[in-house]
Amino acid sequence: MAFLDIKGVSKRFGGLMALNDVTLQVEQGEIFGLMGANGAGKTTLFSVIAGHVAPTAGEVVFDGTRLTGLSPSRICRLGLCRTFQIVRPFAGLTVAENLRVAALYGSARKLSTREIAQVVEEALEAVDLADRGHLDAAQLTLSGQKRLEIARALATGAKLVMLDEVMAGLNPTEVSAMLDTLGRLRTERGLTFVIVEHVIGALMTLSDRILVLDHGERIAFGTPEEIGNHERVAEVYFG
Amino acid sequence: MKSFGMIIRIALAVFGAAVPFIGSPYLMGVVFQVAMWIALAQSWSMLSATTGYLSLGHAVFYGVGAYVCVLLTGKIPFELALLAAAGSAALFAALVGMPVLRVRGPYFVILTYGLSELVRHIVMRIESALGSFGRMIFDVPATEVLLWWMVGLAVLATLGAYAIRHSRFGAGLAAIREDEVAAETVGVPVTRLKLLAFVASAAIPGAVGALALLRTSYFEPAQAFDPVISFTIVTMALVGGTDTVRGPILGAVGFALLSELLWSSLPQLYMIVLGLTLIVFILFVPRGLSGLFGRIGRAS
Amino acid sequence: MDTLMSGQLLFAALVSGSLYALVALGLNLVYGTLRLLNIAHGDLVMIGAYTAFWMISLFAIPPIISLVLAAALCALLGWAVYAGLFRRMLAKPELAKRVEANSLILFYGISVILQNLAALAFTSTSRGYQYLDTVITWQGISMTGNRLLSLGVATAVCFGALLFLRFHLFGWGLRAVIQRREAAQVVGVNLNRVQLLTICGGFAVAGVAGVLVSMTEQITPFMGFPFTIVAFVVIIIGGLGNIGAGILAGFCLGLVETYGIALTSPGYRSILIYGLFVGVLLVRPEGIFTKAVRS
Repeated sequence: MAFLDIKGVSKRFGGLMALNDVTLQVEQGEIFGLMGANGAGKTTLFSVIAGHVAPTAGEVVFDGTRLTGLSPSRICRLGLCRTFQIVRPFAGLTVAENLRVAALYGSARKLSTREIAQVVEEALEAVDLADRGHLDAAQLTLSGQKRLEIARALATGAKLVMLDEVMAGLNPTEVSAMLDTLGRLRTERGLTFVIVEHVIGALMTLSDRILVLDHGERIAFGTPEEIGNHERVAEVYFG
Repeated sequence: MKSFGMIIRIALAVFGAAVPFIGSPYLMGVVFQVAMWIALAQSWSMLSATTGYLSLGHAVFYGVGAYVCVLLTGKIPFELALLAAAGSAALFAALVGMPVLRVRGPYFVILTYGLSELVRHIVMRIESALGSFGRMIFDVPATEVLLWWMVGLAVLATLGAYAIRHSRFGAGLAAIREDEVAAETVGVPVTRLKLLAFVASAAIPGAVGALALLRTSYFEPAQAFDPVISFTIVTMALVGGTDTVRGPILGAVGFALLSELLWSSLPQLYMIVLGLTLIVFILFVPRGLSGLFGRIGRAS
Repeated sequence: MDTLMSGQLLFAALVSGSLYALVALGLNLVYGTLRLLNIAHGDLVMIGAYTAFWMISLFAIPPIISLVLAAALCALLGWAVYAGLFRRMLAKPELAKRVEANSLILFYGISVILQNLAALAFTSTSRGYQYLDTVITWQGISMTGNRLLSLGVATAVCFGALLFLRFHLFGWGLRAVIQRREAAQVVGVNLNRVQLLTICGGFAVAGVAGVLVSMTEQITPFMGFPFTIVAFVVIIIGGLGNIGAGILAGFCLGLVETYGIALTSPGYRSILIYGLFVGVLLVRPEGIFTKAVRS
């Protein structure tokens, strides 16, 4: 059984079919890429998986538990956490406090004070924010806030993290630093990632497998090389 | 921990200040008022300072407490009536909390106001249908007893507010204040925590309403649910500062004393001062008196 | 049943409906352009009412002229509030962040100040005066001149405002600001000027409504708040910032209220209004909220 199993998920907003019968399996430890033009349904899919939006049809199973119908906070405690394309830090709290909340509420079991301090510290180090813990989250640069989003997901103890365009708006140096970070997280922590990215180079480099969505439907699926050579993808995506 | 010491000191000061005045009716009245507003402002802060859901309707909990107390008084012991008053206010919050807390920002502010007024008019209607235009209460406990209870509630509310801020619960509420969607995403059960905070902030005002009623020994719905109570609470808390537990205390003490000076002679002037202070503080001193003192302390 | 079907009741409903539409129009204009819920709006009605009362009692100036005076006075107040408070508040980022909830509290402070200033200056005694109170009977409907005048003026101002927004260039700019704030600025709408003029206009309309109210009702320092609540109900039902639908909703509320009271008793008026108020806020929080953020 797949780690994350999405079975025939559809989502209709009024007359618009945002997702149409999408099925995919994510295996533990892989980096799974999602591609598609604006409005292809990537963010909607994230919202359905994370429990922000109820699907019109289909279901999502994570690590043997059916997620459909559960609240986002419950899903997070099961070990699945997402980040946001437009960052949503707790702006008035410090960076460390942001992570502390995540550790306090996100983990499956209740952690001791010492464990929480440790989780916060590890999360800070994992994304190279160790020297920024005392700053207000609002004071971080965009790149810093994107890292904070990831660190906050880590601090919840998530086993699967969904990253919604963490590279968008970063300069090339920051992108390559982010690539390093994500690669390291996978090898060192054995995390599973589902990523949506507009920076195609980054997506191709990182992903083990890629699914391409167009107008809510899957149009291609395979390794980065296969996707790169796929006719329909080239047509829809690269114009 | 430093601010905890501060709270203990303030609590002791209120107690200490109360002792010598036993016997002087006027001073007992002043201490009663100060303690009452501290209890109310601290309770308000349990919801509004922590989550940023500014309630402009806390008079409804005060009024529910008073109403329940007037219905029960003489039938059950005074302590039980107080407990029932607190319990009913909390229960009322629990019942209306779910739908009310779905509404955010300025709409939450006016909704709480409207709800409080709605309940006021309903109670007025019930009372007039029963042919009652105000109820006298006989056989109330001694003023000293009421005073001690009120001081106790002020201390309890302060400790409660402090405990909430420094707990896991408080951390969750702070996350809700900053970004509700993000809080939910990292595992904070937003709906449940908001509801708990709402209920927590309603209970003590219920008991306060009951005590205040027993002190005046007269119940009239228009007064028990007076929206001025809600407004005063918000003003005291915002002027005092919502970042720390001592803020509401500073605001409550300041305005309660000011009210002693002005209320009986020039109530309108008191309200105008209240309104002006509120505007000045929102615009120029958003962190309140507490923030002001904190800054001076740090600078020196 | 006979009373329900009579033209008399319909006339009463139209009179109060037109007033509600007018009061709500002012609130809607201010909300639409500034995104501020002015909880002191009803107190402007009170100021308009006192203006008319003192003008006729002291100088024998009839309400029809006081309409202009009250409008000017309230517009001036709007200018003072905008220039003195809100330009400052919107300019400070740390205040602007929480501006919506804070501004409501701020306006409540203004409301408390206005009410108590009026109470201090004019005492809490109810005031009233007589003007055009001869009864005219037409088709079996008894109407007083002042009610007819009130209906006429309120309706005229509402529709005048609609036409102005539809056809005048400034009205276009204003509608652009209501719908797409940033985009309006890009295409050259002077946001500051639009906001200032709207707040003056919105306040002035409330002053006009106050003069109309004063012709038929008692005047007290605390008379304004019920109008605020009514105006909130109306603009939430009509859709925040939607001027035309708001006017329609005002008339509807007048009908609902008049017939609701006729079916029960006047003692239920406040419960009906506050019940509607709480009800619309509870039922449509997402709708209201998404509208508020999207803009």
